[in-house]
Amino acid sequence: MLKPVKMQKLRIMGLKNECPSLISLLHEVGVLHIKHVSSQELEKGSPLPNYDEVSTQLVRMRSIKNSLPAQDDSQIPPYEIHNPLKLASEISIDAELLEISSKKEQLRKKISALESDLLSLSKITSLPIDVSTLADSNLHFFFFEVDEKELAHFHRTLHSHAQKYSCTIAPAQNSPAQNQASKKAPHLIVLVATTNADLPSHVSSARMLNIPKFVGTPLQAYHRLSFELSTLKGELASLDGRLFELSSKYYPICTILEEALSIEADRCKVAMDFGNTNDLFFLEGWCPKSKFNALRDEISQKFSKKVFVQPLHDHEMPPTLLSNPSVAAPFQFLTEFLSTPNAHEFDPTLITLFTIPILYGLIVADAGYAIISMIFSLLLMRMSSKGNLLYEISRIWLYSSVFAFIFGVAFDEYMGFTHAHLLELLTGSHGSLYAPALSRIHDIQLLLLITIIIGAIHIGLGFFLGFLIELGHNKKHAVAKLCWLAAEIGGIFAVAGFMFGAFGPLAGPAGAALMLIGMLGIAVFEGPIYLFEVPSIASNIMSYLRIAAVGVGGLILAEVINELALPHADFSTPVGIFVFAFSLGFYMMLHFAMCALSMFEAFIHGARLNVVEFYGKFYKGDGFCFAPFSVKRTFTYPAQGENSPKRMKQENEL
Amino acid sequence: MVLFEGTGALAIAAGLAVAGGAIGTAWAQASIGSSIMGVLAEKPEQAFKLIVYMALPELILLLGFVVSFLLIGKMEA
Repeated sequence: MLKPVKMQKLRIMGLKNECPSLISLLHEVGVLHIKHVSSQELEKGSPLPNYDEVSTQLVRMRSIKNSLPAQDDSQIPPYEIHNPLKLASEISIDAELLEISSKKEQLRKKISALESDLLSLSKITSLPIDVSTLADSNLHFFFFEVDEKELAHFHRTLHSHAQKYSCTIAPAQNSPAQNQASKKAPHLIVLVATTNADLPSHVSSARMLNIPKFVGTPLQAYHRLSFELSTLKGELASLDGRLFELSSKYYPICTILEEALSIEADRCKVAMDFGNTNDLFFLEGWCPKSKFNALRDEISQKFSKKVFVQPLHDHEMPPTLLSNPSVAAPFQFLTEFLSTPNAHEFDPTLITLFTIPILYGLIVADAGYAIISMIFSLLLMRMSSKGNLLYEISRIWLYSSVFAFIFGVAFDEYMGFTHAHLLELLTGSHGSLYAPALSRIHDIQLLLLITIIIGAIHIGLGFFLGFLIELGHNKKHAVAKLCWLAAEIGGIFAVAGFMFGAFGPLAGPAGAALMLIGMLGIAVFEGPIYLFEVPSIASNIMSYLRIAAVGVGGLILAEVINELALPHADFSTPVGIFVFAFSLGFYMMLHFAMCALSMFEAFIHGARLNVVEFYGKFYKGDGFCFAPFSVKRTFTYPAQGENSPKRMKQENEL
Repeated sequence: MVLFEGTGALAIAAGLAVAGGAIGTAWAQASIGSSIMGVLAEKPEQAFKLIVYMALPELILLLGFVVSFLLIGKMEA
């Protein structure tokens, strides 16, 4: 728990023809973190021979799947797949899908053009004239939409710019709703037949309509195009129907094969990390020490003397696998997210399980906000998926709100009110139920002292952990950590004794002496240059004052909200009820915003005190995460002989 | 020559403590913020770590706030 899982480095070597089977075994077992082997004596590893075919089929399956209408993945049962390449090559719907896709594209274009033509034609269907009967090579036809009031002006324009013309006028075909909505004078549609091709450039009092060429009356053309449109839509629907047919038949198997082939592709690629000779392959990696024997036995049982597993003992830094109780999972996530500890150092997750929530609780310290933040956290957890940053932080907020509630009750803070004030507001009764342990506003000096003591203990714990960690590696550094601790304790007593006269007359001189001894040790064991770092202990401890400052700042803001926005109940009139409801909503919204701000600030400052002030005393964080070569299956079972489960469906069912 | 004395001087000092801290913090966070935006453009997964760095200079303001609170306490006494 307090240390990462112990790792065993190992080397596996074997005959090249056993390589694919070994890779499959390692993939299914999933306990080996494989490292890249690079050696001048060995050939560089290359992917397994069928990698090209696997990746080609994988891309094919993905493109077929994306071309088909999606189906519910949760309804796809898992299958056992022995030969995904053969199964994938038997699916031959690529040409049909391509044809359907191109036909659909053409149909969509035609439908879009027809819909546009229909929209234009729909405006002139009231014109009873068949344009084709007026066909003359010298005549040009223009359709205008004219405001009824502008008709006279429009005629004058025609007179002045066209020597010969004829007009056919009909009301525009807007729906009554459109006419009512526009609240404008009714529009007219005017068909002008003239010999002047430039007429539209002279007309400013009307809008020219772009009407496609048609035969017969506009209404006949409209009906003809409508019929054509419905035919095309029918064709499109039939293609969609065919796609659905193909999807119901092929989507599940494409999904299954996509997973099976991506597993195969991973197996093919991993061989690039191996080293090779003409007949042998070599691979190196780490597995948890507790699983080494089981892995070695399994390999020797399956491959007899064709593959060997050899433990290695060198000083290379192994990957880090943290192991903590499930309750500490979000804090482990935070530890790994900030910087993974190296495999030999202390895992601070369990300490942060307590320190982050306690510091958060001390900063928020409001029972009302604690309850709101619990609700916020649960909502955020429901909105985000497990393993997501937001989900894990919400879990931290949830745990921390318990401490915020406890400190809120102890400090008698309920959304900026005291419990007595709150009871008076809600029930009208006077009197208090208990005396608060501390008032953060009135006992500010005591609060500052408490935060400094918390800081001193937290930082002292950091030095002590540093001492314990270094004790196993470097005695000199371990003693240096003790000297830092002595300098810190001595400094605290010196300041308390000389400046505040605390702990009796001997405290000051004794503290100063201890501090000097500590500084001397630092100079000897770490170097004189590190003496310049000694004042940073004071600034680190002072940094914990933020617990008081952020907390009191939040409390004052909550009180200001109560002072300015607390609604006054007046149920005598409907207006009074409305004003009360509105102001109550506004008041609650202000408190929700304040609570969200407190949650964010308290988490950031609580985490920062751990990461910067506390971790800085012992933590290196230069590790890298254990990433075993493992397989995640949803739609497939491992093939028989690869730890297959009893219940499985056979490939031939597909 | 005494320019300010009594509660007025304490009140001005309390105000200056917060104002100075706020200006200093804003100045520091402006530089850090623009640098963080640059990093986030390339490594968005570092967001949380960077927010912690953003909180570093807030200590200046928080100490100013604490000092002003102590001064106000002295003023009331």
